[in-house]
Amino acid sequence: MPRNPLLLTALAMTALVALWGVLDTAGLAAFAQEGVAQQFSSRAWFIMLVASLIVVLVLWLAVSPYGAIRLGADTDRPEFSTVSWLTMLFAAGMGVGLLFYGAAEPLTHYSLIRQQLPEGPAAGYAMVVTNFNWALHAWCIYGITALVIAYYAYRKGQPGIIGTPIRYSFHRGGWVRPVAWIADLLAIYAIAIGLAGSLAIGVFQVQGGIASLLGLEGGGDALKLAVFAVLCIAFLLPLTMDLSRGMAVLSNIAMAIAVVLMIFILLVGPTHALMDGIVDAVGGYLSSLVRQSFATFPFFGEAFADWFHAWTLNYMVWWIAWAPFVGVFVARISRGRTIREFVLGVVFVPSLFSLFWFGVFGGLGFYAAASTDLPVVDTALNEPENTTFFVLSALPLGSLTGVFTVAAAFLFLVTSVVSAAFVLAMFSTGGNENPPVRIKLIWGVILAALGLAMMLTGDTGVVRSIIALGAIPFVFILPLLAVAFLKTLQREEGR
Amino acid sequence: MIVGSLIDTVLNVVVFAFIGALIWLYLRDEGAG
Repeated sequence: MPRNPLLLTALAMTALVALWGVLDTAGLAAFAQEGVAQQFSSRAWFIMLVASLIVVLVLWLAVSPYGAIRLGADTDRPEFSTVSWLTMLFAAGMGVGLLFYGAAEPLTHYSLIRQQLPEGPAAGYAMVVTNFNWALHAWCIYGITALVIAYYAYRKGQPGIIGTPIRYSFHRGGWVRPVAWIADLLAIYAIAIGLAGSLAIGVFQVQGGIASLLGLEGGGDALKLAVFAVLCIAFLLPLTMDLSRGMAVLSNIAMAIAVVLMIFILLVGPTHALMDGIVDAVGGYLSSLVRQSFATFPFFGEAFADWFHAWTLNYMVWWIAWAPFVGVFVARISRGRTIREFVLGVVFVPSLFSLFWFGVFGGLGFYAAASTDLPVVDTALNEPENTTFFVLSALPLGSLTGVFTVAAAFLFLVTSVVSAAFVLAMFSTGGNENPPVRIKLIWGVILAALGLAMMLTGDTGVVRSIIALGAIPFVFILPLLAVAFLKTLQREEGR
Repeated sequence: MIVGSLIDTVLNVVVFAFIGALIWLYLRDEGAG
C-alpha cells in the first residue's frame, strides 16, 4: 500500500460508513435522515442559492469575453468531432436515474400538487418541477466542475483533481494546502457515496423489473441480493483488466436501448398527446425558471417543505455529489474546445435530452393514469421501482420493453461503477490517469460494500438521504472552486 | 426548542462567515504568486 494519506483517509472514511451500514442499517438510516432533515431545514436557502448562482455563472461565462478562452493551449483543437462529442455528452447524461424516475417522478409530484391545484394544472406543474430538477441546474453543476477540471488540466498543465484550482489560484495563507486536501477528500467521499446510492437504486429497479416480468410475489430481498451479486461480479472483473473499449461498447449499447425505448414509446404510444405535453412542459419550464430557481416554499406548510426537501433540494445535492465524477469524463472529451462551445454543448444538449425524456415517460405515465384503470399514481408513490414497467405495460410489447429496460439499467450500473472506481482511484492518487489495478479494485470493493449497506435499507428515500449527507459538505467546495476559477481567468485577461 | 433554534442559528452563522470569506478571497490581491 503506497504511503498516500489522502487515499488511506478516503478509504477509511468510506469503509467505516459501509461497515456501519452493514452492521447497523437502521442506525445509519436514522442518522442520515435526521442529519439531512436538520441540514435541509437550516440550509435550504444556501443550497438553492449556490445551485442557481452556478447556473447564472456558467451561462454568463459563455457570453462573456472569457467564452473565447480555449480548454487547452491556444493552438489546440478539439480531439473529437462536434458530432461525436455531442453523442458522448448525450451518453454522459444518460443513466439509471432516468430509467428509474422517468415515469415515477412526475406522478409523485402530481399526487401532492393535486391537493392544491385542479388536475390539469397539477399535472402541468408536476412536469415543470421534474424538468427543473433534471435540466439546466444539473448540467450547470456538472458543467462548472468539468470546466474547472479541464481548464487547469489542459490549459495550465496541473493535475486534474478537485483541489487543484485552490492550490493554483490562492497563493497566500497556510490554509490553502489543508483546504485543497479537504476538497480532494470530500470529492472522493461524495463520489463514493453518490455512486453507491445509485447502485442501490439501480438494484431496486432491476429487481422490480425482474419480479414484475416473472410475476413474482414476495422474495424481493433474496432477488435483490442475487441481482447485487451478479452485478458485483460484472463490475469487479473488468477492473482487473483493461476493458475500457469493452466498457465504452456496453455503455453505448445501454444508451441505444434507452433511446430506442424512448422513440418506441413516442411512436407506439399517444404520439400527439406526448408531443403536446413536451412542448407545454418546455414552455412551463422556461417561463418559471427564475421563480423556480429561487423557490424554497417557506409559506406552504410542512407537507410542501418536506416534499421540496425530498425532491428538488435532494437533487441539487445529488448533482453536486455526482459532479466530480461526471466532470472528469466531460473534461476529458472536451479538451481543445472554447469555454463558449463547452457551455453550449455540455449544458444545453443533455438538458434538452432530459426535457424530452421526461416528456415522453412522464407523459406516458399521465396518459396511462387518465386512460386506463391501472393504479399508476399509487404505484409511483408506493413502488417507484416498478413504475416504469407498470407504465410500459399500458403499451403493446410491454414484456419485451420491460426486458430491455432491465438490460439497460443493468448495463448502466456496470459501466458507471467501473468508471467510478477509475475516477476514485485517479483522484486518490493525485490525478494519476493510469491508476494501479489494485487501487481500482479496492475502490470497486468499497463501492460494492457501500452499495450493499444502502441496499439493505430497502428504501429509496433513505438511500437519497445518505447520498445527500455525503454530498452536503461539497456544497461549500463548489463556490470556492468557482471563485478560484474566476480569479485565474481574470489573471489570464491581464497577461 | 431553544437548543434546536440555537443549532440553526450557529449553522447559518457558519454559512454567513463562509460567504464573507468567499467575497474576501475574490477581492484580495494574490500578488505575483
